[in-house]
Amino acid sequence: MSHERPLCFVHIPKTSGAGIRAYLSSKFALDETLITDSPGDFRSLSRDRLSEFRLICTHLGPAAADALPMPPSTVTFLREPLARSYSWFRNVQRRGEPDGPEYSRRAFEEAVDLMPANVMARSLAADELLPLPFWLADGRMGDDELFDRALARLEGCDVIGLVERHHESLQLLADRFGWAPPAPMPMINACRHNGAGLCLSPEGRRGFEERNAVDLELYARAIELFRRRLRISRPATARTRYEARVIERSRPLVGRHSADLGVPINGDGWTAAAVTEFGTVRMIGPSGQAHLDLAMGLPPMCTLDVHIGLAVVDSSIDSLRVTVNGEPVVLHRAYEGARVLTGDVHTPRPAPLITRILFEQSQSAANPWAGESERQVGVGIESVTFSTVGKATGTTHRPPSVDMLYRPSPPWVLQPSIIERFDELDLWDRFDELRTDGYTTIPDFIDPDTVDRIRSIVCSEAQRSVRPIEHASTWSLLHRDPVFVSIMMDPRQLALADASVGFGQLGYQAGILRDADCYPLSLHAEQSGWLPSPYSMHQHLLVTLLSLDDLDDDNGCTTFVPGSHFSRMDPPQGDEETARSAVRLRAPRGSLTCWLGGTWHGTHPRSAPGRRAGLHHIFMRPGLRPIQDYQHLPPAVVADPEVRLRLGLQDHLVRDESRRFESGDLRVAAGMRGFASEGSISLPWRPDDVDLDAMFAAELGGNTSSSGSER
Amino acid sequence: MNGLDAPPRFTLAEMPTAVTPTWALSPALIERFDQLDLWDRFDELRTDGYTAIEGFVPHHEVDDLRELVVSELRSTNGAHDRRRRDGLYSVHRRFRELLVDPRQLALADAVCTEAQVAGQSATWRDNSCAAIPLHADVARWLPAPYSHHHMVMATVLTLDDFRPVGSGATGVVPSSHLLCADPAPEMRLRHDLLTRCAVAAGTLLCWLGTTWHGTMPRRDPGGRVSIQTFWTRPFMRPYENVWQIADDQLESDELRRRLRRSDGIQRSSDAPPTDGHAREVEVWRGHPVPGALVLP
Repeated sequence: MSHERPLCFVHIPKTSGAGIRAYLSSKFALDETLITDSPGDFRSLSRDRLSEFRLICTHLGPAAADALPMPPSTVTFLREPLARSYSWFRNVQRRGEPDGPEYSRRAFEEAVDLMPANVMARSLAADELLPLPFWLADGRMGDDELFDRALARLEGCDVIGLVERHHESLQLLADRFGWAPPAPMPMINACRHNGAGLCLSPEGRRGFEERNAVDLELYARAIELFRRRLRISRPATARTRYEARVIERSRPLVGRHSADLGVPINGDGWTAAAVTEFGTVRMIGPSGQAHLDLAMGLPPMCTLDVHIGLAVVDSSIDSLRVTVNGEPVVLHRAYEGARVLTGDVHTPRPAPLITRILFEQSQSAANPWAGESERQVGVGIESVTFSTVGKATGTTHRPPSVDMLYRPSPPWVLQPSIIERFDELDLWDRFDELRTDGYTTIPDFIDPDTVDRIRSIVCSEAQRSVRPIEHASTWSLLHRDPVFVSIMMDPRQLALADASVGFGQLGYQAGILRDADCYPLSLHAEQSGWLPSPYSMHQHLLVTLLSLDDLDDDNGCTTFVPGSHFSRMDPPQGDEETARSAVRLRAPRGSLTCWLGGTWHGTHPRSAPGRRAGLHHIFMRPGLRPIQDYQHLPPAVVADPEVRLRLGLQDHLVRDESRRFESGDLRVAAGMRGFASEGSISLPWRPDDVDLDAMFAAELGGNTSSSGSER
Repeated sequence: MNGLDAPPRFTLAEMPTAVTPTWALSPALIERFDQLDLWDRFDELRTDGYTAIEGFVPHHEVDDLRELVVSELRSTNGAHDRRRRDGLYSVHRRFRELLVDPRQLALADAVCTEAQVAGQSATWRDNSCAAIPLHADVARWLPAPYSHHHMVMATVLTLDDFRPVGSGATGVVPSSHLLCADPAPEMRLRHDLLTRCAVAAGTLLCWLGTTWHGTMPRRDPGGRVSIQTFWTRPFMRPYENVWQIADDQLESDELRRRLRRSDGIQRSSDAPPTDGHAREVEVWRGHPVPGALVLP
């Protein structure tokens, strides 16, 4: 539903309304235009349905405007009362209906006493929907009240037009609503007469003026209002405003740009959009000229395709003449009967920011079946397309439609092999915690003897480390003892890593020693060492800590901000409130704590004497680079192909001239991209998200520009 | 089992966070852009997702370079086919010189902050080669939807003229990088969406890793030759083994850095920590330094 105010044209009969209605209709889409003169039909429309219309043209009077859900902008046209009455008289006479009113069978001199009086005032003053013929409506209102009410309604109109000032009235309309300055437009549905019938005798004129005094006074006030408003709206200023509005959206042509004429367009001289079996088209209006303004600058050379949706006769297509920015374009059809005209467009520099396409058609090609007063040129245009070839320099181009997007990879994909491993290893609860809180702990991950063995090696290696003692740690220990390869390859750890990052490859392994002198680590997200934030919804790292001593308040421990990975951001440095929100991990020695790369974590300092030891692993999505060099490990350490895969030594990213694609590569590649496969489970980003499509739509928010069609 | 404390819950709205801008040009990079007159090229790259530096290789050198590439393609040993040669920098000094051209490096650094080489390949495309469907290069590394930060930049040095029709030109979908996604399968063969790059031999075409592009089939006789280079952020893995080239072949520190020798990331056991490592990480991640030009 549009939140723009709709436009309501209060159509008083014989005030050039057919032409104005056609003009207004050309500015709106077909499905947002309501043209109705039936109170019953109007009342049958629900408020929701009414709110879908942006243009309402009706004889039903201002009450129709009052009934709209959103207050509309109103437009009405007035006419010199005697000329209006005579036009109506001629119209009734022309119809020649046997049961027509009595006055239609008399001369105008006699008819003026019988015709309804003060029609313009009554139609503006009415509070009810006016049934046709509305001059039968309640006329009990006194002249003063009638005038006051009609004038109030008139002054409330956004645009007041005068038939006698037709072109200037159209200029007022265009200026008020930001449309293209109008070209002179012939009157349509106008009675042809020489005006001789308007010559009333002095008595007849006096009688007319007495009966229509309110209309005459109202018309005089309308002239005054019209002049006042016209003074404010100068044509040159209106054109500048219009062009500024179009230029504001102007972009250089890059690639191709299609302008659909079935939607509201910037331009003038067109009829309302019409649905045909070939699509929605617009025909060139009665003047035989129509133009389209596109918010676009053209390169020096490009091509133009004009898609013809309707041709009354085929030869009328050939008679179409097109100029672009004043330069004639030679159009040709690819084959006889083709509905697309193509031509090369050459644009001198500097290119204007508005591309104006002018369509002209000789009247000989006009619709031969249209009445003379409703002449339309016989070609309906569906769309125009500009295309460029070559390296186009310039700036912005609208991105392609979201319809073109491949569905992104789900944030969590559990391949069938992972599901099987989770079942076997009883890891579903751990995975659920990891996904929800951003961290989890597997107790009793290794037995106490292995803990002692690893701790002993870590401590001795730390003594040899060149790293400063206050941050005592070891670098990769894979080559020091087979137990470190075993720990790295533990199926529980790898299952959680694969579930988190697609295919976990080792990026870092180190032993750590921390004593009371070690400074506490402030909150951070581990993947900040690799990637800039905001992070994507896919996890890129899984960090694990094997506790070689108990973790608690005295011994020191890791702290976490549960759920912080959902922020996809880094924590603000020095924010005490955030730091206080971190919970301290309590885990006995031998347990394995895992956290996601986006989870905010830090350390709580040790107060007890001695040191606590641990063994860190960081598993990464294979597209990321490890921070340790595993290429020089002894061959015996990396003899197992699975170990080589986990160390990134054997996959499709380490291609050289002699290496062919191998079976393991596929697993790594699938893990990198996070594709779902048959039998896999795809889970949303947050546990309470249920609609993946909605989530992706939100993820892509702001990029949902439509393709290059012009509105 | 997540510790003993009951975890307090932040709502996301309450969570104070810090973000890194998508584009942050350091003062040093701004100076390089000024010196090399690259602002228009950068503006196109950022806005359209691609740009071209015409005359990247002087006209009189193009034929010699093309001949050098063709000879390497012909001499490829054990290759999968003779239409592609990876690791080009390891076979001739001229290719290494191309890698460190300051214009290419400046654009790559703007995109990838301290860009490093992920691979350099020569390709030969003739009329037996199928069209390459629309794709985004970053799909080699990461799952979609992609981050707003650019991880990859690709360059193609044309050694034959790219014409709109018949030459097998590369084409791009302008501004498609703004979608941070891949083209749908049914869109992948929509070559009509491509803006074909019509450029002369010796031009360097550059596009972002998320820009959709593809290659038109070649109809003309003979083959078109080009050199393709991928650049990534330092923490992305290269797609070929950039460590296969011997250290003594790397003539400059710049080359060593771009081929991931002296960046301090991938250290051997017991290697001392790199001084200023934390500062480098900040730079690699795109954190703006004082005086940086930050762009949306």
